[in-house]
Amino acid sequence: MTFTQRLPDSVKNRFLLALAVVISAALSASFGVSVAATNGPYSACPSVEEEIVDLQMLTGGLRETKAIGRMTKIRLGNDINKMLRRLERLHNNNSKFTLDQLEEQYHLLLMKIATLIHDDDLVLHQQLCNAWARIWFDLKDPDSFRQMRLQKGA
Amino acid sequence: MRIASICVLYVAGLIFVQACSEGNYEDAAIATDDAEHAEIVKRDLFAIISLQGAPCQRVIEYDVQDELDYVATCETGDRYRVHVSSEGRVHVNAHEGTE
Repeated sequence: MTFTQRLPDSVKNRFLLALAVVISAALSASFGVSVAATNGPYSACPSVEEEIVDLQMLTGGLRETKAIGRMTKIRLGNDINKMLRRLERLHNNNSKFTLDQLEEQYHLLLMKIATLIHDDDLVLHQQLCNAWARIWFDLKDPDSFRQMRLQKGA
Repeated sequence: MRIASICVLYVAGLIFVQACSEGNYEDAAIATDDAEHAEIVKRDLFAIISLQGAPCQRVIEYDVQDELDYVATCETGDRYRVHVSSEGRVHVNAHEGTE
């Protein structure tokens, strides 16, 4: 007679229930990030050969694309610079916007860019889609942001 | 003695008024920042709606439905749902619902 066979049914049921809870908690802890990422917007971006990894690469792609006219490129450049100045103030603790507000402004800026390019430059649009979350992750982190600004200045 | 107590009361009153007005300025500053943020959101929503060719003179109001999902109300009364699909495509659809 094994140890589990000797246990009463009620104890066995409780043990199995507890085991199920532990396993499901472990699974959600392991896959929590990916589950959230696969359910949200821009989570099913098509894979691309060459990925955009930062804002500089994105602005480079926007400069090169033929999907946007020259004036619109200048306007977008101004919008990106404004966004960067707001983030700089945030990281220097003198921002009039909160991090959540700036995140919303970042998303709207990228929505605007995506709208401009998704019909005429599919590759750049796919690259933008893949880089969307990653660029914000770097922008909101003070160290990554300062490093990016130093590289840009260099 | 009486004059001294009047003076103390006067100074206390001044301090109280000053404290109240400072509080108002702070509130006003916060309100202004929120208002400026709301204006930026409205302006960008208007730009996205216009880029998709939907008629809208100006966005006067918006509701956040979810992350990257808005319902914008234009000055003309037209309402649009502006959202991003899982493939990163931005959609602007006429919104029929009242809320």
